[in-house]
Order: sequence, then C-alpha cells, then structure tokens
Amino acid sequence: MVEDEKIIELFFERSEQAIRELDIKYGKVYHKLSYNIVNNRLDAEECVNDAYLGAWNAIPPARPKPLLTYICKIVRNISLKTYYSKKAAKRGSAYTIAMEEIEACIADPDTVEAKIEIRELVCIIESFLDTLTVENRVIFMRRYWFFDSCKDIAGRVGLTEKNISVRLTRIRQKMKKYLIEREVFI
Amino acid sequence: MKSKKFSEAMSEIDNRYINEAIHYKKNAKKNSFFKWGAIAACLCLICIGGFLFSYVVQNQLQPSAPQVSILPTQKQTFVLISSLLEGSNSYSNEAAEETAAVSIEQYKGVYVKTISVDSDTLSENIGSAVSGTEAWYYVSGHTDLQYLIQNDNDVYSLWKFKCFDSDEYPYSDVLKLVYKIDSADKIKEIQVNPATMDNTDSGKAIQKEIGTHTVTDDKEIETIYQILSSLTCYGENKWDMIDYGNAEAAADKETSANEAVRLGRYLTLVTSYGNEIDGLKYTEVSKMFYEFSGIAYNQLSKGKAARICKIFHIKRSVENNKTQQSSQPEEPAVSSITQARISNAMSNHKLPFVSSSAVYEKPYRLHVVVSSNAKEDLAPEIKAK
Repeated sequence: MVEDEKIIELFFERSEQAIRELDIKYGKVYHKLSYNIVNNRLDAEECVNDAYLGAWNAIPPARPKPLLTYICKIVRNISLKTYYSKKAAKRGSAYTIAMEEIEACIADPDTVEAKIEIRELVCIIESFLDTLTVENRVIFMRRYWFFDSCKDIAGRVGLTEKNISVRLTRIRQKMKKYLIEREVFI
Repeated sequence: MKSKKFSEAMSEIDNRYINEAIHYKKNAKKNSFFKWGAIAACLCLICIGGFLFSYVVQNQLQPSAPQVSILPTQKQTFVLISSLLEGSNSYSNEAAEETAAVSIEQYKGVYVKTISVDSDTLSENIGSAVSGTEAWYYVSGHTDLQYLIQNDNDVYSLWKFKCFDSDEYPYSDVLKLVYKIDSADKIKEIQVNPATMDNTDSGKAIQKEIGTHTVTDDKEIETIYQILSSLTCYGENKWDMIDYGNAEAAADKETSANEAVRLGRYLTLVTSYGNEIDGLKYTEVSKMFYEFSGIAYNQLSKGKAARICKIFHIKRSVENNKTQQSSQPEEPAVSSITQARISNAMSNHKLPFVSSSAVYEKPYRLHVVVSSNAKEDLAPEIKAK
C-alpha cells in the first residue's frame, strides 16, 4: 500500500496515478460514506468522483494531513449537497421550492436559533464531544458524521446492536440537555 | 432545517474527532474468548499458587528461594536501537526537530522525532505501552526511555529523549528515570571522542592528534558517574551559559586559541543493556558539560574538572596552565564556601527564618535557594564572598 506522502507527491506531480492510488487505498471508505448519505450506488460513485476532482484541484497547493480525513470531508459535503438537491427535486412542489428559496432570508426573532452562528454551534458540539468517553464519542461520530448503521457501529466497537442503540439514545438525551443549558435550540 | 444546520455544524467539526472515529479499534474486553480465557488463567494461577504454597510449607524451603517475576519485557525480543535508525549520524537524525512531550514522573520529557526505518518495521518492534500514555511505546525488550515509539493513528515513528521541560533539574533524575542508570555498574564503557565543531584541515588535524579512546576502568567510570549524578541541568537553548572557546580560531595558526577542539570531548556512554547515550559533551574551557541544542549544565569545581581532564586525557597548553596557576591559586569552589557560610550562620541562629538552603554554581553566577521571608538576613552572608 502506497504511503499518504507518496500519493500527495503524485498529486503535486500532476500524475493521474494519484487518483488511482487514492481510490485503491481509501476508495471503499469514501464509497461507504457517500452511500450512507445518498443511498444510491450510482450517486455515491458520482459523489466520490467529484470529491477526487475536488482533491485534484485543491492539491497542490494544499498538502493535507491526514489525507483520509481531508477527502472524507469533501466526500461528505458533496454527498450532502446531492442528497438535499435530490430531496428538493423529489418533493417537487412549487411551494416547497419557493419556500426553500426564501428560507435563508427569514429569521425568527423569538428564538436564539437565528443568532447562533454555525461556528459557535461547532464549538458547543466539540465541547460536548469532549465530555464523552472515547467509546461513546466514536459511536456518536460513526452515527452522525459517517452515518453508519447501528449494526456497523456494533461490529466496529465490539458491542451489540441493541447496546449501540441504547447508548445513542442516552448520548442524544445528554446532548439535548447540554444544548438547552447553553440556550441552543436548533 | 434543524437537521441540516446540525449536519452543517458536524461538517465543520475538528479533524481529530473524525480521525479518532476512523482509527478506533474495538476493545478486547468485549470478546468472550478473552473473558473466559482470563478467568481460566486466574484459576490456573490460583492452582499454581496453592501448589507452590503447599510445596514450600512441606519442604520448608528457604524464603530466599528465587522468585519468578513475569515482566512484560521478558517475553519481548531485545531490539538494538541502531537497527531502527536510518543512517548513523545522530545530528542529521535530529535535524527535523519535531518535538513532543511525554510525562515522566514529575517531569515532562522533550522528545525529538528521529529519522528511522519505516512505520511497519517500527510497529513490529514496539514493546509495552508507557504507563500513563496512550500513544507511546517502549522499544521491544527495553525498559529505558531513551527512545520511544509513537503510534499516531497506526503511523509509527521513533523519538529520542532530549531533555526535561524544566529550567533546572538534577541530571541524576535523567540517568535514573530515562536511561535507567542508577549506579556506575550500569555503564559498561564510555567512548571519548574529539570535539568536531571545527572541521577545517587544521581542526581535523587536532582531532586526529587527540584520537578516540574508551574508558573501561571501573574506578574511572565510577568517578564519571558520581560527577554526572551531581550535575544540575538548566534545560535547552542556554548557549549563553556555554563557553567552549573560539571554534573558528582553531584554524588560525597565528593565535593559540585552538582550545575549542583541544579542550572539548564528545562522549558516548554505552550502558550494560546495550544502549548508546551520545548527547553529552564536555569542554574544559568553561569546565562544564553541555549538549546539542544548548542544553547547559553547571560548571564543575576545579577538583572535579581536574579528575575529568585526567580521565578524558585533556591537557591544557603550557602557557594556559602557567597563566591559570599564577592568576588562580588552588582554592575550594565558591559554592562550597557560600554554602558553608550560610550553614554556619543557620547553626549560629543568625538566620532564624531560614529553614533550608542550597547553593548551585552557574557559569557566571551563584544560585542561592533558601526558605526564608527575611532577605536582609542573607545579604551580608552572600556579600561576604
């Protein structure tokens, strides 16, 4: 298996071999992540390819470390974008589309929601994650970042599926309480 | 909308959480095989313990009979550090200067990443985990902390101890805690090499003239161990405290100031378990040990420096000796005199508020530490010298 540094060097040399090596090494992870979001093999394939193109354009000048996480983020963002656009297209009514167009401009003055910037929310979620045990943090991330099923997470962390489900319920309750204490209502 | 906002926030989350989730390995304790295996092993141990106990009672064995202690390192193959290093020059190994801190007892050890064999080879040579850390491992078969292997998300790298992250600490702590040297017996030999700070033809000629020799005499090793154990280290980047002479002048034949090479020695301590500790250097110019990266030690007293010179075969030039002898008559170290004065004053109740005191010599000043609130009481005693 080729080292990450070698793959990045291939990107810097503008060699297409970089994409092939990247796909051989981490392709399965990216496809699984994308499929978990878009739930369609062809769409997942397209998202991963778009992510590779994104990486091709970003490296150089970027020299990401670790490479796996960097591309995972690109795959996730592209897949979510695809998911939301497909979802909007499926609903299809003129009303939904019109409302989505105007949604970004509407702020509800009675809630704190409008005032909380994404960056602040990220900080709060990160501080919440720091309160969890490593195992619970991994379970949470696998579920809400990688969108793995409870069965997949169970296999990964060596617990039963039921156990994962119970733990996730407790983590969600804990997070709800944590966010309410900090006056975050998303 | 709610979920979308949450999802957007998750997209921005720090990489370390994603890395952790990617590289997490399942806990072995959940495996029933290991659980039942552990129970079976406990039962076996109880049976063996019971058997041995009855055997001891019946045969009235001496209590001093050899005991079996199972250490993790006994099962590991001892790996020579040289087999893990890529290239033989330790300076080029440290050129990258990527550092990390590892907790060692009450200190934080500063470690420098070294150029080593590849990650896979290192992963095959890791020993047990360093207690209190998650990512640091001993080298297989080692109990010393001179070199450690770091596991950063399944990427293994080799790190070398540099110093403690502290402004002042006894070097005996480094010998004991890091190198596991708690007596002279643990040092097999000491290689004394010429100083190589001047590599001009003239400098090389002096190096060749000095040559390398190895200290193997037990008494000499004991002397060096005692002196090293008494050193105080002042941490790294203290070049202003270190004076090893004018290296450039070594090449200048018009001056006699080639003492940088003549009065300098680079040491390699070879331990009884096969490690080579190659950081220490000694210069007779300022009578002190120092290390790469400006790690400074206290100045030696004249007596200690003379013993070191004899063992390391350092000879001052005749002119230097004459000027030194005429200007500096033989006298005890300043620190000893000051310490004696303070101790004397304490015993005569002249310093009623002082409960303890310590005096350290630094190259250009004395460092006096006392436990007292009355500074004016001390002033006359220190001024006296």
